[in-house]
Amino acid sequence: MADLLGVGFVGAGAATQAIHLPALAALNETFTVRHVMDVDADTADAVAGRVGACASSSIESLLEDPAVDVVAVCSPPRFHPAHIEAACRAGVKAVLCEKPLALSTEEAQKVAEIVRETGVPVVVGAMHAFDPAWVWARKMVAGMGRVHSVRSRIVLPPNARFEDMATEIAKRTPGRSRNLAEPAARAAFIEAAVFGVTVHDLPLIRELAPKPLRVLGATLIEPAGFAILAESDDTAIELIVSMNENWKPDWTLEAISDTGRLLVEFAPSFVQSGSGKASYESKDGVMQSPPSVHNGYAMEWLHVADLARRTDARPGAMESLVADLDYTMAVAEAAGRRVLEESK
Amino acid sequence: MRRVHYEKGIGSVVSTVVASLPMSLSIGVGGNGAILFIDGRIEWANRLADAIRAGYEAAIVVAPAELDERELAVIPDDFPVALDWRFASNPALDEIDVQTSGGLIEVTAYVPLARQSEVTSLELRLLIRRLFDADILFRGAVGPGGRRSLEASGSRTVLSRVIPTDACPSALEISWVGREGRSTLRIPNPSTAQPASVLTTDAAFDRSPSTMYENSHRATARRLLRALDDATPLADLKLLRRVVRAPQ
Repeated sequence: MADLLGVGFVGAGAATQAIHLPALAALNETFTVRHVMDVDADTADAVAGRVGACASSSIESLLEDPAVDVVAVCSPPRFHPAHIEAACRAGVKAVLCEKPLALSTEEAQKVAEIVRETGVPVVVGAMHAFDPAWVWARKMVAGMGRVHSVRSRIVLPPNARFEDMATEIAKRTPGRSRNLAEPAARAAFIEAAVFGVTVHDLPLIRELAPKPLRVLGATLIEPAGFAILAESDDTAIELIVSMNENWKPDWTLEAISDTGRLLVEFAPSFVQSGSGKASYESKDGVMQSPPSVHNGYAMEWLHVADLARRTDARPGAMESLVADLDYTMAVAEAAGRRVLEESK
Repeated sequence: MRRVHYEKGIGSVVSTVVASLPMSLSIGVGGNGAILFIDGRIEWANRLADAIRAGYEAAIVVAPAELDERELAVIPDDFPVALDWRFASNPALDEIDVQTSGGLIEVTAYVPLARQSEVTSLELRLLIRRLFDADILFRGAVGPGGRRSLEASGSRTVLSRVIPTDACPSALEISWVGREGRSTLRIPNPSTAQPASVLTTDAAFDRSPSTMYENSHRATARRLLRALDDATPLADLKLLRRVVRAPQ
């Protein structure tokens, strides 16, 4: 089909294999995967072979491929800014970058500059921001008055179980063993966990509580996770992550005001199990979001398609992405400092 | 059959308790040998001391308010007193094993705005002390009317909060996430006998054991009657003293 958008993947790890390829398979009237690049040539070959795409082990080859309209940056986070820049300068129609956008505000601002300069739209793969349940929920926020409590609670079984339910993974990267005896290692762990997990919900939390967060307490929890207690202006914010052996993920975002309680239950990562569920409870009763077969991954790809086909830029989008990153970094760094202080 | 007397303001609580235990309790005159129901919402310790001097056999303090060590000192340890907490006295807490082995415990009380004062941080502290043992990492007021604490002890962390809102019915949730799984105990509106619910999720199953259709008031009265019948001491005041004495 002439209208199909050709996608090129930079990086062919678990996110590409278990998240994006299955998501795109369901959107095959909009996208087709044309090119898969990975520094590991065998992985690139194996993954590209599944979808009938070209394989390469250099980003230059991918960006020279005229069949690539949209670039998905799924490389390790430290390479995101450079890969986004390369894609933008190559003149692709749109870029989808896996979270995070960058690892520092300076890098993120530089990316924003490049986007302004080239006019290539960039979307960060924060799937919950696109989940139909959240899109429904955010409409409720306006009517609930001042939110005084926000809680993000993320309880996850091991990722590999869900990756295996989503696809067959070629060359899985082995997990690293953690030694959290040293305070610096504990601080690094909480920073990485905020950046790796809570990062999905912090843009949503920023909408609920836009003022900068002040971290009041932070601690690691067993077997792997953390609890952070913070405030933004006079909104109490709790961020919880626990990775354990229970079979059922529990990924919820709760916002409470004097008159309303908003609860969003997100679907697990990796699997294409449709949208999350949202409910809004008040004295008048409970309203629920309509279900959708599309999850946040599918919706973010459809958003990418929309941007790739439009000629007008979306002003403010990059500023918002940079602000999201700032917000996330502030939480991660403050939590790391708290853990260090508690360890003394 | 034991005679019951009560203070003004808690008549409806007492009449529903007596109606649910009609062979054990009857409402009558106060004084010698009776059980006194005390309205705990304000300065209850002095009135309890007065009741002891007036010859009451025992007392139930309904919804005890915050108090300090000095106020508690007027009550002798050996007088049978049952503290009737809105949530912490729910019988499900005795029937269900909520002891956990490491991980995070969250205690959340949703309270209507007009009744904020009836669920005190003292009640949550007492509940946490009774069920778990943890030291304070952070405690403070966050958000309007919010009373929150983050406590950690060894492998266990406790995050507790009182959330004032009219959005949902009053309820208490205790959630635990640990190495092998997670569970949630939910105590619904304490004014009713709706049963608490428990859901435990491990690597293979969701499990939900039976609980009881009994509210905190009736469970407290039964507990006191059992202690009086068996002549066994109640530990309510002892635990309360421990919690009140602990650093804030």
